[in-house]
Amino acid sequence: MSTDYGDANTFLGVRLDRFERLYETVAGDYKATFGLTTVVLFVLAAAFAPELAPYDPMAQEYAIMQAPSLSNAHPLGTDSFGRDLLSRMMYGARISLGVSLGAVTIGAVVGISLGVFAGYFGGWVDDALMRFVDVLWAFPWLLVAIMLVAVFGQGVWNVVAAIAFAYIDDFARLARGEVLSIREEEFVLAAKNVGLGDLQIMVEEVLPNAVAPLIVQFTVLVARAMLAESTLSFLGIGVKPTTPTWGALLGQGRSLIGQAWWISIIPGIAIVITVLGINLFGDALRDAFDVRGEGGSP
Amino acid sequence: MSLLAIEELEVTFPVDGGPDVPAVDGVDLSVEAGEIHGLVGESGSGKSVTARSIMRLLDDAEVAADRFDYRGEDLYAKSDAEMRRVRGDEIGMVFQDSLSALNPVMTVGEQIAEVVRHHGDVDESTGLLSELRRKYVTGTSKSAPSWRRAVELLETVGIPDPEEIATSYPHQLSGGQRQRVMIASALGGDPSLIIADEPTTALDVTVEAGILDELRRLCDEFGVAILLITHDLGVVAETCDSVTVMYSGSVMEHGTTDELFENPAHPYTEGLLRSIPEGAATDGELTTIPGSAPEPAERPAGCPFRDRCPAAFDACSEPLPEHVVDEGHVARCHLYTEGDDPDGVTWGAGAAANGSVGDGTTDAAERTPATEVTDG
Amino acid sequence: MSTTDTTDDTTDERPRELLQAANVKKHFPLDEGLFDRLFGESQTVRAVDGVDLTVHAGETVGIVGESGSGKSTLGRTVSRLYEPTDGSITFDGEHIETHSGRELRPIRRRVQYVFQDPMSALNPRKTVGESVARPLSVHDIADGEAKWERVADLFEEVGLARSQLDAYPHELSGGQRQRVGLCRALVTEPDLVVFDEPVSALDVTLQAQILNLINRLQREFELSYLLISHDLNVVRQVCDRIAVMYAGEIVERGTVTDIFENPQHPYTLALLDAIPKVEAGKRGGRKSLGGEPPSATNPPTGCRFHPRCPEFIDGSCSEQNPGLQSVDGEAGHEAACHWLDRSEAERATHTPPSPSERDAIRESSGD
Repeated sequence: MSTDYGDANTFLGVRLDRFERLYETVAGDYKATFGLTTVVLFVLAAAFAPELAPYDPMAQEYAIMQAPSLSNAHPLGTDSFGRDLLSRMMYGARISLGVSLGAVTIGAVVGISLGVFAGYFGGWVDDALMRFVDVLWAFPWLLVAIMLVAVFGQGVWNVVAAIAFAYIDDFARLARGEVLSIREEEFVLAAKNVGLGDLQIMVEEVLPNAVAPLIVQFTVLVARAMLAESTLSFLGIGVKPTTPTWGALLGQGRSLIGQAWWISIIPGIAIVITVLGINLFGDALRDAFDVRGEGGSP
Repeated sequence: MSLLAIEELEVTFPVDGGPDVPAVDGVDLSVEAGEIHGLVGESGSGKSVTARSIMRLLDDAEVAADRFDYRGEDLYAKSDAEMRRVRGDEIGMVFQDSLSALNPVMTVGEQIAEVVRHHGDVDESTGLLSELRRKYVTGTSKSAPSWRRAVELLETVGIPDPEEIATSYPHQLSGGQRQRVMIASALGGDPSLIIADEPTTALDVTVEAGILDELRRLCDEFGVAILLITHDLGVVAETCDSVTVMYSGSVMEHGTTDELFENPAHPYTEGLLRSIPEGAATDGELTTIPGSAPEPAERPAGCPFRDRCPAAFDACSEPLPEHVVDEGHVARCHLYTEGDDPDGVTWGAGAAANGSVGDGTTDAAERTPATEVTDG
Repeated sequence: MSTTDTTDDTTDERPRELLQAANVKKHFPLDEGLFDRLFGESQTVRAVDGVDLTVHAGETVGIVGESGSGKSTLGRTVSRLYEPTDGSITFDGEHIETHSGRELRPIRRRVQYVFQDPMSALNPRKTVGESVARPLSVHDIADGEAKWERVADLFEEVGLARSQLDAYPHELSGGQRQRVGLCRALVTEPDLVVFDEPVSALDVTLQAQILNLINRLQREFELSYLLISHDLNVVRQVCDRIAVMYAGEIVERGTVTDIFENPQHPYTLALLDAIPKVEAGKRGGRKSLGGEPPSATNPPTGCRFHPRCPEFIDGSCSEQNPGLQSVDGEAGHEAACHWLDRSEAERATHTPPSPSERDAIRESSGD
């Protein structure tokens, strides 16, 4: 896109001033700052785990098993196999991040597509697609997880599939609701007038205006997905036993709460903080993308 | 003594993280008993804000005035309880959008009856329990005096079959009927002043005529004074006895309707009159006032109109004067007080007629004031 | 104002018919639940119920009516934003009433629409530059730099600044947004532009600016206009010919002079009468039109205006819908009123029956 006209500058196709807005939103609001910081730390830990982790997460040292936090060279302590908790948590972050993001992204893509088509076309298309979504929704996701484990055994991809499955209806209904009201707006008719086809209208005109609640929903569900993955791993129907996801770590320390509380509690606290941070960041994102500033920034 | 006398009204809205917005900047307004007074202005002129300040409906704003008297009593000195009595008993209000101003889940008759009970002259209990009972259980009894009065009022405002209409819900009525219902409801407390905020803007022309006739009749027959807020000069010409013209927070001119239309003294009033597509203007270009009204934060010092006025000169940066053109007819323009022949001000038909001058940016500093003074 | 071609041609050619709508109808079914659909009577809103309309190249035709008259629906139907329920629409010789979306694409380039509320007609998430430039890429007219140049030039043409290409709709004023709407309509260099209440949402002084602009653009770009408005004064300013609509039908049509100086239909007369006039000393002279706007699902029988008509005659008004007949033998001026069959003297001295008498007449004719 040409930068000759006006003063617009773009970076990767997104106007620079939108990044400015994001910065303003975040800088101005301590909650958003907290959220962003948490998310950034989390992503950094996950991305650079191999470089940053002090120990090999799988290395077992029976000599210092169940060592409490800060007792020696292990800042967060060790678990019952003598593995360093901090390193395990950092590697665990990768998997948690991947699983949550992956699952919610898949759920969002499928769900939003269904919802947008249903809302835009209405009529029998709407009925058919929404009944399909209802079927998905009626299926208890735990059952789906169990089924997948029964068929494929434990593993990361089962978790992703099961969680994605659970969130399709959320996105579908939300998207459909937004689209139903947006398609009545005059600018959609104006786009028809311009000669845009249905698909173009859905992508260019309708979807960008539906995005705000979807973004918030996305971040909320990423947080929930982390918890869901934790639940599955805790129950033993998630990832393979030695995989150090935070939920699995929680589960492993379950029986040792009395003696070595840090094995469960520390991952637990980490989950809480991260989930909170993601939610707050989602709010900030939504405000920043709200072109009209209805979110409150003057 | 005027029914309503306001002097030097200033209304400022505080803004989060920005400068305060001076919506109204020194406005004088007076309404006499038994007259229809028009308050005319375009969007952003501050006319609606002025109206709401009379009813003290501006909780977010800072309101200051040298004088704000209704029947000689200072409205802003009253307590909340006293003001609640004033609203409805003394001053009624009719809003522009009848559909959102009326409660959609109550019948029209119920709503008027409720006003009558609380503000009118009937002997009926208005305690919380009775009201709850009426709202949720029984409704107002058809023989109750408030109901009968409601039906009476519906008839007064020209609604046919008032008994039946009283049991209808707002969405079942047409726009014109709803507007009449609002007027009836405003009359419920027997007020001496009704503030009508753009009552006919949302209505069709043929329906509008009826509503305006109704207002005129109410004024003539019952002596209710009406403050009619509008942007439509035609409505003013047809209905009002006297007019105040506002622009960007200040009064530009006021006087009797006849005077103002026959002999407009302020360049803005003149420009407005000439902008109306009517009559002889079919031959060619409409005379326009180039540019657009400034944002409150960008108002120039002195006269807010000077950036668009064809006759602006140095004195215009001074605070607005009061020039008495004739008895009761006041124009606030430096042309009269500081010299320069006011009669020499004419609007050239070609004066930036396509409006392209100055509309591109809203930055007052960049706009060049049009300086054509004589006709081509 | 427009210039028709006839004065310039040496051969006696009438300007070509750009748009021709014949007996166009647009009905909307009222959505009802399953029960009603199975057992109840389904109702349709007959927004446009048999309208003939022609727009010649270079002229401006105005459609006047109040809310519920069907004028907006008519505008959207003839520009194929809606598909007509019945009737034919011919654009430059081509029948477009049953065209699919794909077939309509080339037509969209030539027939454009300006919406009433510029705020809601612009995508709040796109800059106004993007919105205006989009048609150029949709129709493969221009791309890249050239595309933006065209848009910027057009912006300047209508009085906007080039720098405003990057503005979002909510950052502009009402007048500026309407100019953007105009740009979007003109960027493909259409032949016909349909305006739906182009100035109703604007202040009086802005109205004048935009109307002047519309007039100028027509001359410069040789456009034809269909202008829809409830405001007769606006229509008078811009139009050559006018059609007055009521309850989904055209009740009178003619040149501007015909309508303003020799109106025939009682509704036209009522409209003209209802316009608030600014001339001093004309206060209180208006008669308002009583009655209620007609039901769109169940319009009155016979002449749809008869329940409110101040010149109601007799059973023929409530039984027979008078079609458009020419006035005084003039081809261009038509009105749909039974009075055209009777003498003017009779009309001048006629006293309409009282409402109760009317009811009696209606009853006896089995209304």
